[in-house]
Amino acid sequence: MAMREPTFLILTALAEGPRHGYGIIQEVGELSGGRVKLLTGTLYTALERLTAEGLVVLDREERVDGRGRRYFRLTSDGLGALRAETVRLRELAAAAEKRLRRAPRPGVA
Amino acid sequence: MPYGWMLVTYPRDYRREHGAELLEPLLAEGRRPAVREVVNLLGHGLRTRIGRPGSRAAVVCAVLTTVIAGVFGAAFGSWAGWRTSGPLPEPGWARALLADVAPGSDVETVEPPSSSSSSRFALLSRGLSWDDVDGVLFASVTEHRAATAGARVGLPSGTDPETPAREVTARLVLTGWTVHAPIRTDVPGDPAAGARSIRIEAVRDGWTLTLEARPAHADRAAVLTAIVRRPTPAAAWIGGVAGALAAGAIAFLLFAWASRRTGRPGHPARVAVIVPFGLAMMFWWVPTTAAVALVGSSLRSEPQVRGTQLWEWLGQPTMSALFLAGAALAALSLLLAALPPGRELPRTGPVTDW
Repeated sequence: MAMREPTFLILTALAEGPRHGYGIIQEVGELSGGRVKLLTGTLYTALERLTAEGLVVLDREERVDGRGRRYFRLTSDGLGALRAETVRLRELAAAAEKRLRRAPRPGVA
Repeated sequence: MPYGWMLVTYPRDYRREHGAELLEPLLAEGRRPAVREVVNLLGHGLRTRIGRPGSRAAVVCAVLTTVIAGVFGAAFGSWAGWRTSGPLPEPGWARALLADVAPGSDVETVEPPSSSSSSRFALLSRGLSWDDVDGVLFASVTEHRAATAGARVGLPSGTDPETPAREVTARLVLTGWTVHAPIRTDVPGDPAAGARSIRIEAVRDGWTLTLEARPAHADRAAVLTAIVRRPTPAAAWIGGVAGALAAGAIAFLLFAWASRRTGRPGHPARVAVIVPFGLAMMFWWVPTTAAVALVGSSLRSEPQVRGTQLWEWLGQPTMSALFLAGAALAALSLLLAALPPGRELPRTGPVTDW
């Protein structure tokens, strides 16, 4: 089944290494050019689901300014799922580009 | 914690351990929350309460539980609200109304019999008592709706229904009733005869009177019927809404507690709890779905029948034995969920507290 965009972006944000929740939100915003603004409720529900599915795991916990921060990282299954989804999206994009090159230009009979 | 109220739907222990993380963007950026952030946290707080984060079925089950409990709560609240409704007129009142119009004819009381005229509800045209428990549980009692009071009188053969209907209407107007325009319908199966039934509604003092005059047709004599009903009291609506909200909320919290608790690794009833819960859902949803179809079909075939109450749409009291069996199975699910977790249950890391 195709991965939903927020899930894909969360996994992508974790691809370079462990991040905490707020860091993932910032990274997703940057990855999407500011188009996707993850909300914390959505993020942590997704992280819990991804953890239950074995794609993400808790890396460590730190305290910053008296506040707890959990760092998450990809598991090998998570890395595999991200690779597979990236390939799928690339193939889709390639197929779309191929057809677009052959598409008639607007206004040209 | 600033904005801690936004986390009110999250479980208390989760809020304590991870609340600061959930609010970090607001606290780090020093801004006020947007409406969509509040809604997002309230919604995901409810999801977190259910636990079993990898299971969409848990969310579906939570919705099914909340909805069925909400509608049963609405039915109970509505029933309780109905008990505030005022008394019906004495049976003699409707008899006297018709006796004047058809002098010399034998006027009979329709319902309820005078001994139970104060009853708010009627089971097969009589009041509800403890003796009815067997009947209610084993489906021999099929109707429990607000009691009505009325009378019926046979009319001489060949009477045009228009005449007695006109006379009764005049008397009602004189005694302060507001009378609506009559509705005339052809007598089924005998359109050539030209006679039509007349139905008139009148209201006064919170009562609704339905007067129906039918001509003789086939082997049935002409008849004039007057039935008085009480309107649905405001308390029944308020009770229905309050009952739905309270029962839905309680059911959701109980389901979420049991789901989250049994969803933790090492709980001895992690899988076993699904059996009684699934059966409870079946005992509640199947009869309810069947009852909705039956009542809907009955109303389509007899649109003149009125007074169908919410509990009848849920198969009550006809199928109350199934409802009670479902309640017992739901209670068993909660007992299984309350079992102490096994020793192997890991409780050290924050991630396991889901």
